[in-house]
Amino acid sequence: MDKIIYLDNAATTKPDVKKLELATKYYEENYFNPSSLYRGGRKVSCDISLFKSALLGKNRFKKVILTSCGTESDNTAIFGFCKRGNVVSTMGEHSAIYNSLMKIKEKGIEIRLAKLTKGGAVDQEDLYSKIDKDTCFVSVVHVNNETGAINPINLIADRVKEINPSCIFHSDGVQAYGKIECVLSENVDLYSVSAHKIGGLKGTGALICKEKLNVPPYIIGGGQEGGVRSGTENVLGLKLFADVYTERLEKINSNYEKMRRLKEIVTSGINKDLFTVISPDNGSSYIVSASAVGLRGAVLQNMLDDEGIIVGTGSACSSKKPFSRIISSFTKNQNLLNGVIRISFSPDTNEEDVKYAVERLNFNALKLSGKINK
Amino acid sequence: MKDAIIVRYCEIHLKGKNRSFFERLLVESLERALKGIKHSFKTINTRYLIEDYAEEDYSLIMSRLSKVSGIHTLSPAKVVDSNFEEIKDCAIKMVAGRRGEFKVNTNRADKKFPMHSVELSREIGAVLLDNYAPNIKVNVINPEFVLNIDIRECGDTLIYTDVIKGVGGLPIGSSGKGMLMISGGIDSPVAGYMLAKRGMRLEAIHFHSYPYTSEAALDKVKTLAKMVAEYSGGIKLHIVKFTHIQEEIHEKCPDDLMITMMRRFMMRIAEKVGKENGCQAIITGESLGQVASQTIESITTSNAVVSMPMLRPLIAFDKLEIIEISNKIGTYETSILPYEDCCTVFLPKFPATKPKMEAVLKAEKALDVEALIDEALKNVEVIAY
Repeated sequence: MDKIIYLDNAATTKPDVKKLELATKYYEENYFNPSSLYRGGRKVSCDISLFKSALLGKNRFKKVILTSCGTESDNTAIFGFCKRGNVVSTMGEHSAIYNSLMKIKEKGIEIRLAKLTKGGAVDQEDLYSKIDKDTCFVSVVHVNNETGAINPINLIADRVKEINPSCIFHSDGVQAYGKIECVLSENVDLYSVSAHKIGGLKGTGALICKEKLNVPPYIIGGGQEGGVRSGTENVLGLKLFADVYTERLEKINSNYEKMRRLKEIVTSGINKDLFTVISPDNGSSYIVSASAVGLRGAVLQNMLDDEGIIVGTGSACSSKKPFSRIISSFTKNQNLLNGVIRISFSPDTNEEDVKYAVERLNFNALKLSGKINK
Repeated sequence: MKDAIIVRYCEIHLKGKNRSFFERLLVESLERALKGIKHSFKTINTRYLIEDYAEEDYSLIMSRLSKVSGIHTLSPAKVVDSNFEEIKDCAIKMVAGRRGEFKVNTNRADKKFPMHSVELSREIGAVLLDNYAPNIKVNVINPEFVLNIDIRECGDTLIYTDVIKGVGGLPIGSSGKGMLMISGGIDSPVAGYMLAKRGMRLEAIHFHSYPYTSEAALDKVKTLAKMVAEYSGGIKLHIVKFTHIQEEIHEKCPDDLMITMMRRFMMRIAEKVGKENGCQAIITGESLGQVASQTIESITTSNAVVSMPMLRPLIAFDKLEIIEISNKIGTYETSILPYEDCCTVFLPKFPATKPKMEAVLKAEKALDVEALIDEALKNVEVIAY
């Protein structure tokens, strides 16, 4: 097996090797501790400011707090602000949010989760109905990591603040950042992002937040990141993150158009007798989730893996927790839940590979179906 | 004064003329467990003494010894010359920092020692009270800790307070060799442990159904086999590719008999691989009535294909009792990792809980049993732990 067709880019992406080389070269020359006061350290400190402003893109009146990953960004937001009353979120959140909220719940804070509509977007009316004067924090994922459903977070944030202007609005933007055009509304207080989903390095994330918001420190130490997140900055990761994001931002529309074609190849090419598309039409074009109804996604994943085609599943094949928490929140069809596979793209995915993968997916699903259903 | 670990064995003293055979096996087990750690080894009457190890290796030695079958108890001890002054100094050091009610217990094997055992206990007890009262108090009926003084004939005295329970049972190798059918669940590693405890050497066999089960599930089985190997003094794990057999059964046989038929194939293969490797029994983690394949009827139909003795140490155990042992031997957390342990893709909705032998035999006629088994046997991966 020589060639690998990688279609699990929502899990992680291949690093942008050329930019990684540039970033490594930069790092070799600028290895000084950014907190030190000699010339080298001050230069790195200035560069960090530049890289961070690159991460803001077209956003105004926001600042960047560096973190080690999307999960840390989410945790910083939740454990910093969910202190009293109730917290409103959705059934479609990543585990970094969901499990943190379950932890907060143990401290006696009420957690209210809004329903999802078919496809995985939040049911907005249900969300708004859960917010009241005691709500201290609202978190709504921007792009659902399993189905690609997009929540219009600017609109949602504006409406949330109309209902309760004093609550904090957070969004997990890990699957949206650098992929879909978005200038955050002033009502989005906090926004979590991660580098390795767009060609950067694992271990690099950020929390984008409103300039005037005081975020309680999550990691205490030498006072880096305005005291919010101490620890010597991950300069190499940040430099690469800034570079890959800048390029993603420049090409955001042309990339999206390309993804739209790839998604179309999958949704129109898969055998409709075997598969049901779960992702909504108006969802992110970077992710297509479908179910081989009656079959098992993990088995298909293994069969394709043997042919050098890597796709994701909706869930870790598990006998204890067999189904995706997110997808099972809007459908109870066990056969559908069992068969979930997720195909996700990056700008370097090419059409021919996707066509071939769809063909093999159909072939293997048919083969498996023949074996299962006598 | 130097450190030592006292190792006491169990049951071996019951074995009349075979005693030296059991003792030799236990010594072998001990040496295998302590391989790579600097130490010396001494026999005193019905006990062993581990000495001359580096202080930092103590925890490692105790952890390894806690997995050796045949060991009844372990005691970290101090060894001093058999004279009153040394015994007294050592006792004072040993009891430092302790609180509660205690007694001193002396065993005077060396009859040349000038004081009688009761006398020595009393004297040492008095010295300890002088040093540490009111933190400690004598209670000879129901003490919270006991300071044991063991005056050996060789001129050494062992002093210890703690007695730590070992695995128990018989030394590995004293009860032949068995083939453990290991699935990746909670029960089979416990079954393996229990027979290792009774001195049985182990090999293990696992039936893998890739792509219907994942590589992660197989890794889990390997991890479990390795854990059991620490008790059984090594394990040879045989991994059999079972996918084709499953597909054939699914295609050609009635759905409700799927599991019974699968079990029959597994047993036959386990027996063949077992015989080739010198095993005298097959071990399973079956517990009566736990699942469809473990009812007495299912056990009867699957048992019928083998002639080797089937050992089912957990047959009368409740799940919670099995989980308790699983926790004790450290396999539980791995066993519950969420990967499917046997193929559920083909699992019928309503498996037969009381399969009839005639129906099973009839269903099996649709398959070329021998050819399928030969094919599976051609492709067995073996890993030694």
